[in-house]
Amino acid sequence: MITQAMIMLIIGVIAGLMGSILGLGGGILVTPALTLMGVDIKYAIAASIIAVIATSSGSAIAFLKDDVLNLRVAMFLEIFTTLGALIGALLTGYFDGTVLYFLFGALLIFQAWNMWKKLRVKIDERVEINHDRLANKLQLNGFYYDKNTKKEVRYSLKNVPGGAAVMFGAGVASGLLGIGSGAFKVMAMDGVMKMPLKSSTSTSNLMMGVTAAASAVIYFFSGMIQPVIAVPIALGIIVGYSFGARLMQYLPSKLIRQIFIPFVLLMAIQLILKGLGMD
Amino acid sequence: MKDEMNRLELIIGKILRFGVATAITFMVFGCFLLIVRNNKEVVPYYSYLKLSEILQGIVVLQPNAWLMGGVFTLILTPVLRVITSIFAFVKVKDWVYTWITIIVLLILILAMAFGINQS
Repeated sequence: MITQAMIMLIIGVIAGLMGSILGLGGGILVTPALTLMGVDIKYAIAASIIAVIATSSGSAIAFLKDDVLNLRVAMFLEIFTTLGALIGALLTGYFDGTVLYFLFGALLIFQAWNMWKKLRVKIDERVEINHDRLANKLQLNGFYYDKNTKKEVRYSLKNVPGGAAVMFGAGVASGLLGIGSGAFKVMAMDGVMKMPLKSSTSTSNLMMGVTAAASAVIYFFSGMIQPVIAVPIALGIIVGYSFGARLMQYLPSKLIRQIFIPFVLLMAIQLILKGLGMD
Repeated sequence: MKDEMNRLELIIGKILRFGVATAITFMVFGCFLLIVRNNKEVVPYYSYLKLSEILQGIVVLQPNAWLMGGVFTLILTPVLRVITSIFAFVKVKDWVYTWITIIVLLILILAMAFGINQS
């Protein structure tokens, strides 16, 4: 049992590292890794929700200190993710999720393709200056200091309603399908609202904790959280993020995109396979 | 304005750190108890489902109760972050965001209440 706990601790460290850099929460890694170890899928999912919260709270500490994440954007968009998650949870009994798996899988492939296009066209991460009325009114624009390029990056957002709509969808997906949907959150901010990638991933991380907390409470009181699984994973994650959150700020955005794309594709395949009934 | 915001983000960061540190302390102490006390009769797949049971277990130094207590504290950290943010926005007199954050908290509480009733 000690060896098993050590393996879980290591899985946690890797998931925390990747999760904090990519803003994905580490759920996509934890669930398949635990299932491969022979852990029952429902315990694996519950442990991965705990992993998401650990990454979220953990990296938020580091990012808040360094000001990469945007607290206002997180708060504003959380209205839509939490509302989506609640509606998603309410729909679970009445709705067949199969179509959604395909839909979300296809969306992720589209997102990966978009990112790949960005990777090829621009060498530098260029920040557009928009004069979006809603973004100005809600004070969503911000800046951060990029430790890789050693420059202050000022940015402004656009298409706030579009971003909010994608966030709502991300919330429904996490409520209905039990996924962290960090990839959709990054997609809404980086893809739709044109927020810089580093701010998008770190803000996504902060937001994810709130969406996951509601589901985690459900899992907790229905006995799906097994301490011997969840605890080593959570402890590993906390070690992993403290490195990941610091490391991420020194990495070039281009490299983050390069790591992000295969992960998003992996998740898309996972979702489509689930839709086909193959787990 | 920006300075004030920075200061508040720092406070929120500190409160989050306190939450995570408490969770880690519980979990690590639980692991320690598991190794010291339950060496022969290991109960791997067992969890507490009621908060009162967890509290009782914590008092009698039951390893699993400490582990579950740590996990529950960790689950509560995002909620704690939202609550602190409300006070933070009130302090900078940003009423729009005070309301936005209150709405988020209400939806979150609603979602949790729904979940607990379901299970």
